Amino acid sequence: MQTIKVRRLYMGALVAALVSTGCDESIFDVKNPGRILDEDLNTAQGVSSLVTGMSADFSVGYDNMSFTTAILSDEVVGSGSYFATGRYRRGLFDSEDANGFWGAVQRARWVAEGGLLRMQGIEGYQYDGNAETARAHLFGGLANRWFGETFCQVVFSQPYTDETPGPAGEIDTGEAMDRNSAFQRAVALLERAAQHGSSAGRSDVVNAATGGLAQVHMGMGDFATAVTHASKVPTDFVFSAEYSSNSGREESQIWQETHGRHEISAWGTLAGIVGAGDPRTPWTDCSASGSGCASGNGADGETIHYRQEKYPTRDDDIPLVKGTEMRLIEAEAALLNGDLATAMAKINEARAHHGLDPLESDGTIGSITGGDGGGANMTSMSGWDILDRERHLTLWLEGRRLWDLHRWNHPHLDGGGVVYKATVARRASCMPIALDECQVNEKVSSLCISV
Amino acid sequence: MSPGSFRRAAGRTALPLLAAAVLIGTVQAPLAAQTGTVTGTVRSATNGQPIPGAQVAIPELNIGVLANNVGRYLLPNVGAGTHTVQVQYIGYTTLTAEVTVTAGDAAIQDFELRSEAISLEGVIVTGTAGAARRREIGNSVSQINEEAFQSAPISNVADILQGRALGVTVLTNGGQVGAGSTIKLRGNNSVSFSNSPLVYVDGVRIRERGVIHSDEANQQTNPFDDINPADIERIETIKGAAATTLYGTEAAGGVIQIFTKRGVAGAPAWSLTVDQGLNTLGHIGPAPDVNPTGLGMNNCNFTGDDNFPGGDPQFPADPSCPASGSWLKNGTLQAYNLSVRGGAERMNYFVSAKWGAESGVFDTGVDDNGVARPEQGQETWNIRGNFSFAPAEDLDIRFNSFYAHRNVTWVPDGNNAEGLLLNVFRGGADYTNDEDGKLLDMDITNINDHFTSGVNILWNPTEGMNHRLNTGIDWVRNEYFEERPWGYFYVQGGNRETDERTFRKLTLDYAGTMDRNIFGLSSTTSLGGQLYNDFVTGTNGFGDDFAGPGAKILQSGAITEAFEVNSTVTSGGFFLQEVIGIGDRLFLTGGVRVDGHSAFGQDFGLETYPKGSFSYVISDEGFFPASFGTLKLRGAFGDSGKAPGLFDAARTWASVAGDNGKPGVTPDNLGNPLLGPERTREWELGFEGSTFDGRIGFEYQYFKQNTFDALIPVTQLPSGGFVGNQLENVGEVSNAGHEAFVNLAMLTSTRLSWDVGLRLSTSESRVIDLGDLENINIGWRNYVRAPVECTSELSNGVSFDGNGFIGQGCTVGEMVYFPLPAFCEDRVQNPDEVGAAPRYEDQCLGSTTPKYTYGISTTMTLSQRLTFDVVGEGMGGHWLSSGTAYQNARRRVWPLCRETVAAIADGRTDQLTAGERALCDRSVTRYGMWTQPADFFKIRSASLSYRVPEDILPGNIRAATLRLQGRNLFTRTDFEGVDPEAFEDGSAEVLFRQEYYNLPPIRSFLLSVQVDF
Repeated sequence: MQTIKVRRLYMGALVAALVSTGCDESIFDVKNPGRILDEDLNTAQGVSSLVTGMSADFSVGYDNMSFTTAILSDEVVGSGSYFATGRYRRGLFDSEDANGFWGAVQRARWVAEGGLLRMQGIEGYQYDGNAETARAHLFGGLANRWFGETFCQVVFSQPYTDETPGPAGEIDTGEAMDRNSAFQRAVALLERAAQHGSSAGRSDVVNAATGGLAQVHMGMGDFATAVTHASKVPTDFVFSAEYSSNSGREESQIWQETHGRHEISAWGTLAGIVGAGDPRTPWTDCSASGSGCASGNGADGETIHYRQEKYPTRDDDIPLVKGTEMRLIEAEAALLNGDLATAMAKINEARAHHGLDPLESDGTIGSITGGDGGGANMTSMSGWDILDRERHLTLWLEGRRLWDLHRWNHPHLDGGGVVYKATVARRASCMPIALDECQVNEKVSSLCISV
Repeated sequence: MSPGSFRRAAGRTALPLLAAAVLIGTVQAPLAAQTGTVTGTVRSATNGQPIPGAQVAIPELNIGVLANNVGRYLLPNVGAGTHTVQVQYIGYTTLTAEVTVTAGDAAIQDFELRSEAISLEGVIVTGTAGAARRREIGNSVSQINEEAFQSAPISNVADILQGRALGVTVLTNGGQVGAGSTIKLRGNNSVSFSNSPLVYVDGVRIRERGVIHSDEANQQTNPFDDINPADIERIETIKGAAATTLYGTEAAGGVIQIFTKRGVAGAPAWSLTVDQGLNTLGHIGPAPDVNPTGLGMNNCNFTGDDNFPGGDPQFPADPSCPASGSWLKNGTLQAYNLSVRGGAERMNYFVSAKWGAESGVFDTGVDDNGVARPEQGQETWNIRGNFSFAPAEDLDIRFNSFYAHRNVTWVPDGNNAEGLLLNVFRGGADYTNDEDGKLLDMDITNINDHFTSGVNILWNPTEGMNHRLNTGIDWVRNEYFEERPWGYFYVQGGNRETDERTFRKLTLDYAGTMDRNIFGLSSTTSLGGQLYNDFVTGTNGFGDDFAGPGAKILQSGAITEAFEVNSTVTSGGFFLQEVIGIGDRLFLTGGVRVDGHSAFGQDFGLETYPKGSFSYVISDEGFFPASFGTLKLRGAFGDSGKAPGLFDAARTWASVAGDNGKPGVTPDNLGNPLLGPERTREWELGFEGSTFDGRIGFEYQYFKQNTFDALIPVTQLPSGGFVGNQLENVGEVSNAGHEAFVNLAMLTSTRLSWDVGLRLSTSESRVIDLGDLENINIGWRNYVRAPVECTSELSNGVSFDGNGFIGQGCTVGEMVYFPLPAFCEDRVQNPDEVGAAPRYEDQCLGSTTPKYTYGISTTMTLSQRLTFDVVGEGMGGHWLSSGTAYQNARRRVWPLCRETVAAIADGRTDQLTAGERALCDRSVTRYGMWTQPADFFKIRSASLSYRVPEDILPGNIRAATLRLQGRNLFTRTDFEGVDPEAFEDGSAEVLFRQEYYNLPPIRSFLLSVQVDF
C-alpha cells in the first residue's frame, strides 16, 4: 500500500515537472514586437532609418539643451515651477544637473559616429558619395559642435561592440579632454560631410557642413579659418534641427514649455526689453487682454509671461547653421582685427536680412561691458557691445548664448541676473561632466562637481 | 484525530461530513432504535451570528458534520450514551461539550465560539496541497477572518488589511474615490521592482497592481479593489521570502491569499445589505486662524472675518467658485449587496451581486452652458458565483468566478498644471488667472472590467494523500479617456487621449501532499509545479486640435498619434518540500524551488531557492506549565526572488520617427546575457501562543532579509554611446524588523465582551551595496545611495529641526548606511543666525516609507447585540516632502509664511533668522526645508452595530443588523503639509513618496442595514 502511495505521488511529480518546465524550450520564449535586434540593422535598406535616427536623436536632445541653457544664460527668464528652474536661473548647474544633457549629446554623437562605422561594413551599401553618408557625417559633426560648445570638458570612450558588450565585458573608458577635442572631432566629420555631400549633389549638406566648420573653428579661436568657411555660406541659408507634430518625441520642447506650459518668459530679458517687434525675437504679452494665453503669468505664478513666438507651433525647427550667424562670425573676426567698419557692415548685412535698419557704432571697438539690459549694455554703441546684443538676438533660443557668454568671459557671468539674481559669485557658463559619467568612468570620477 | 486526518478534513472540506450536513434539513428521525441525534446551532460568542461551515464532530465515534448555511448542525446515528462533541472553525477557539444521547431522541447542544486571533490548531494555506496546521509552520502568517471586519465600514480589500494585519502597510494615496492603495508586506527589499505582494484569489493569481495611471489625476485604480469585500471569508498574508519560497520568483514581496465564501449545505440563505452614507472633508491645510479659506478649497468666495477683514489677499474670491462658495461638498454613497448560499448533496453554491455608487467631495459645478459636470466618483457592480461539486467521495471540484465593472470619474489633481488643487491652493498665483472652475471642463474617466475564473480540483485518493490542481484566468481590461473640449482654456483646440489595456494572467498550479508515519515520525512530502503566463495588449492614442465643438473621437483631432503594447511573459517552476513531525510538537521543514522565467538572460538558466524552518510547540512538553496555555517557538529561512523586466536582457533598438515623420531607429537597451533574478534571503525567529485560557493571544517575530544580486539600474558609460541604464545583478539591500501582536479578550461574558488588539511592526530597509555606483536618483529628491564613510563634517552637521539626519553623530571612520529610499536635499546650516542668508548643505533626512506601523483595534459587544468596533492605526519614522508648502512658499501664498513674507516686503530681512528665510523667503527656500517627519495616527474606522432581536422580526427574516459606521474619523499629526497620506503618484509602482497638491483622504459616514432571510 505504501508503495502505491509513493508511486502516485511520483506520478504527480512528473505531471508537475512537465507542467512547470514545459515540454519544449519555447515555453519561456518572450514575445518581442516593436523592438529591433542590433544585428537586424546591418542591411543597406536600413541605412536611411539609421540616418533618420541620427537626426531624430539630435533633435530630441537639442531642444532640451536650448531650453535649459536659455535659462542658465538669462537669454530668457526661468518663470516656471520646475525644481531645476530655481537652480538654473540663479546660475547654478552641477554634475547631477548635467546627466540628461550629457547623455543626450553623447547619444547624438555616438549614433552618428557608430552608425558610420556600421554603414561602412554593410554589404550592398554604396558608402562613398552617398547622401546618407554625408548626412550622417553632418549630424556627427554638429553633435560634436554641440558637445564642445556646451560642456566644460568632453570624454570619448570606446563604444560598446560585440567584443565589448557592456556589463559583461570590458570597455576602454575615455579621459577628460579639453572641449577643443570635440571641435577637432567635429572638423573631421564636417569636412567629410562636405565632401560626400558635394559628391552626392546635396548643397544643403555642403552649406551646413561649411557653416558648421566656421562655428567650430571660431570655437577653437581660429577666426581666419572660420571666416574662410563662413564666407562660403549665403546669408539666407538655414539648416535646422527638425521638429514635428507627427509624434510626441518630435515635438519642439521650447514650444511645449512656452505655449503648452509657461516655464520661460522673455519678460525682463534683452528680447523683452528690445520689444516684440524685433523679427528675431517675437513674443506675446500674455498679461495683455486678448492675448489668448491660458494665463498672464508664468508657472511660478508671478513672472509676467512674455511668450516666445519664434517657435509658435510644435513643428518649428531650431536653426543650427545659418548665414546670418556667418556674417556675425565675420564681424567678430573683424573686431578682433580692429576693423570696425567691416564688422558693422557684416552686422548690418545680417540685420538687413531680417528687415532691420542698420546700426551705427560710436566709432569705438570697445569691449563687452554687459549691464542691466537683459545682461547686455543697452546704451553702448561700441563694436563689441553691439555684437554682443546682435548675436544674442540673432541666435535667440538656438542654444548658443551660454557658449558666447563663456568664450567671451562675459561680465554677466559675475553674479548677473535679469530677474532672479545669481546666488553665486560666478554663474555657470558651461555644463560639467555628468555624474553618470563620473560614477562609471574612474578616469574622470574626481571631476564631477556639486553645487 | 491524527495530523493526517485533520489535514484531510481541512483540505478537502471533509466530504463525508459535508454529505452528512446536507441531510440536516431532510433527515427527521433516528435511523436506528439504539441511536439518537445531536443537534444545535453554532454561533459567534461575540455577536451571536451563526457560523456556517463550522466543523462539529464526535472524535471518539469518528463522525462529524459541518454546520449548515444558518449555523445549524445535526449529528445523526449517535449511539446512546455520553459523548464529547467538539466544534472548531478557523479563527475561533475549539469548544467541547459533554452530551448525553438517549436512543430515539434528539439532544440539543448549542455552541458559542469565541474568536481567537492565535490558535495553533488553525489551518493555513501555504502553497502546498491541502492546508497545514498552524502548529507545523515555522513562519508567521497573518489571518483575518470575516468576523474581524464584518461590522467595519469596508469599501475595498485594502480597508480590510489596513490596521488589522501584522506586518502589512497599506498606504492610502489620496482622497479621490476609486484611487488604489499601495500595499507592502515588511517594507522594501527591492530597488528596481515593485515591492507589492503577489495576490491569489481562491488559488488563482490576479493582477496585483494598477494598469493605467492617469497623468492628469495622478492616481490609478487597483484591480485588487475590484473584489467585493462582502464575498471574502478570510485573508492570509504570507510575509517575507522565508515563507514565500514555494511561490518562487516574484514572491519576494510576500503573498496575499484571499479566500471567498463557499456554499454550505442547506436551503438558500439570503443576505441583503444596504449601505447609505456620505463622504466629506474638513478644513484643509494649516489651522483656520491663519488659513481661513482652507487654501482656497473650503471657501473660494471668502469676503473676510475679524482676522482677515475684506478677505484673504493670498486667496482672493474666485469668480468661477460654485454657488455653494466652496470647491467641496458632501458626496453621497450607496451600495446594495445581495448574496445567497446553500446547496444539496454533493453540490453547493455561493452567489452574490453588488451595485454601488459613490461620489467624492468635489463640487464640480456646471459648465459655461449651465450643464452639470460629471461628479468625481465611481459606480461599481460585481457578481460572483462559487460552486462546489463532489462527483465522488474523494474528489471535490470547485468553480469560482467573479466579474466586476467599475466606472471612475476623476478630477485633475496632483502635479499637473491643470490640476484643481494645484490651482486652487496657489490662490491667485496659478495657471488659470484664478478662475479654477475652467479646469473642471476636462473629463477624465476610467472604465475597468475584471473577470477571474478558476477551477480547484481536490483529490484525496487515500488517507493522507492530497492532490490539488488549480487553474484559472484573471482578465483585466482598463479603458482610460481624457478629453479637453474644444475651446478649453489651456489648449484652445482641445485634445483627447484614449488608453486601452487588457491584461491576462493564466495560472496552472499543481501540488501533491502525502502524509506518512515513519518510525514514529510524521512525514509530509509535498511537491508541485506552477506555470504562469502574462499577456498584455493595448493601444494608446492621442488626438489634438479639434475643428469645433461636440463629442469627439481620436480622429477628430488634426494631429493623431498611437502606441501599442503587446507582450507575453511566462514563468514557472517546481518545488519539493518535506515536513518531519516529532511527537506532534516539533516540526522540521526543508524544501527547494526551481524556477525559469522568460526575462532571464539567455546564459542564465534556472534559479534555485531553498527553504527550511522549525516549529516547536513547547507548551506540549510535560515540563511546561499547563496553566500557561500554548506556546510555539519557530524559526525559518528561505529564499525568494524577483525577475527582471521583459526585455532587460536583450540588446535592442527602438523605432522612432524623425525628419518630420520618416522612420528611424534609436538605441534602446544595451542588454545583459547574464541577467538573472535578484534573490532575497530571509531569516525569521519568533513565537506565538495564547495564555489565560486563550484570553491573551500573542505573536512576535524578528526578521532579517538580504537581497543579494539586487537588480540595480546601472548607468552605462555615456561616453561609450549606449546611453541609459542597464539592469545588473550587482547590489545588496537589507531589511529587518520586528512584528508583535497581542490580542486581549478583556471580557468574555455573553452580556459583555471586549476584545483589544495591539499591533506593532517595524521595517528598516537600507542599501548595503550598489556595485560601483554611489547614488541613484529615483526622482523627487529621493535617492538610492550607497554607504559612505563617516566624516567629521557629516557627524557634526546641523540639524535644523532637532530631528537629525542620516549620519549625524556617527563615529568618524564607520560606515553610514542610507535607507531605501533616502530623501536628500539642502537643509539650512545656520538656522538661528539673525540677518544672515541661509547656508545650505545637502543632507539625507530619512526614508519616505514608514519605518513602523502600529495599530489598535477594539471590539465591545453588549448582550451579543450591540457592538462597538474601532480600528486605529499609526505610522511613523518616515519623512514626507510637502510640494504644496514648498511651491506655495515660493509663490508667497503659504499661510504659515505670512509673517516672514511681510517682514521681507517691509525690508526687515535683517531681523529674520536664516531658518525663517530658508522656509519662507521665496528666493532662497528649498524643498529640503519643507520635508518633515510624517508620523501620524488615524482612526481608520469606527462602527456601532445592533443585531435586532429575532423575536420581533417577521417570520421569514432570520436576522437583521443595523450599523452606523465611520471611516477616517480622526487624524493626529505634526506634519505641516496638506496630509501625511496625500501622495503624488502614490498608486503607481514607485518607491518614493511626495505630497504635491493631492486631495487628502476623505471621511465617510455610513448607515448600513443587513437582513438575512
